[in-house]
Amino acid sequence: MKDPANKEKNNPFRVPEGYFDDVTRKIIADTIAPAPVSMRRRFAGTARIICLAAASLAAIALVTVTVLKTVSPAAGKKDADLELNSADQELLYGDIDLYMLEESLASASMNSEETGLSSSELIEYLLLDNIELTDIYDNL
Amino acid sequence: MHDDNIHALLLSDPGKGFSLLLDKYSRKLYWHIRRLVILHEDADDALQNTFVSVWKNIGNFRNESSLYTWLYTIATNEALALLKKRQRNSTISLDGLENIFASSAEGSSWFDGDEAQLKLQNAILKLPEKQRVVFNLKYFDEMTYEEMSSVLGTSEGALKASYHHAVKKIEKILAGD
Repeated sequence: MKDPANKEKNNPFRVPEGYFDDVTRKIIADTIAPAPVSMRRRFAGTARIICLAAASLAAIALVTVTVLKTVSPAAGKKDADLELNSADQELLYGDIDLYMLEESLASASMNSEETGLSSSELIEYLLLDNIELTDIYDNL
Repeated sequence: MHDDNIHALLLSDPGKGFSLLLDKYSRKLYWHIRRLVILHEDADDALQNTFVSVWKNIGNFRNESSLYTWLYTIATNEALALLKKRQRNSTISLDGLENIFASSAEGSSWFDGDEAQLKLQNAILKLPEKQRVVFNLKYFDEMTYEEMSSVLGTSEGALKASYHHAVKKIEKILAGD
């Protein structure tokens, strides 16, 4: 083969000055040493994907629940039941009185035969000990 | 360094082997591509694509052909692909390039030859694409027909005939001037 230097002398074309040094650097940058992706950039990319996935799942869940609530005929009834239950509970706790406690104590295992105390005496004792009616009722 | 040693180094230390390959072949392949695509910007693109392709496919290279002819095959394919793309986009045809040649004998920023070289380049541009490749590989790169056969995947007999026709056409064109 011809010597490359002689061949270039026979070449009628021009190239920009320093072209061969530049192109070698460019090729090496594109092949052997591609620009490293920084850890921060990589983490940001991963975090972005995770956030997008989480947001998408949340949106899907929200839409599904909304649709089910709107479409399902039992939904309205269930809601009403739930409201009623909570209303009942409020009423129950608001209306706890000595009479109710006496009745509950009577049905519980702590009867007069075992303790030697009547229900009213027991309640009186507990009240003296600064225990609220609701707490006594809860612990029965 | 011999091609076999470069190939061995490419397998054991790809970075170092590739750098040596670039040092040895970047200029040769550039001029081969440039003679086919004519414009520097196109030659630059095709040369970079050639070496990126070499880097990606070096693991597939088998010693069935020489490294030298394998590189020329990739470079030729890149150059011809670029010419096809140029024809599709019809931004600038080879006929257009011929006119550029004709009008830029002196003072061109990309042509540095004398009048004889200008006439020769104009004549080469009038050849069909395949004949142009064959002529350039034989005349400028001084490849053997065996090497050309390996690069182009054509029989040596067909290449001899193609080169012969190309030379005759060029002589006729130059005589007509």
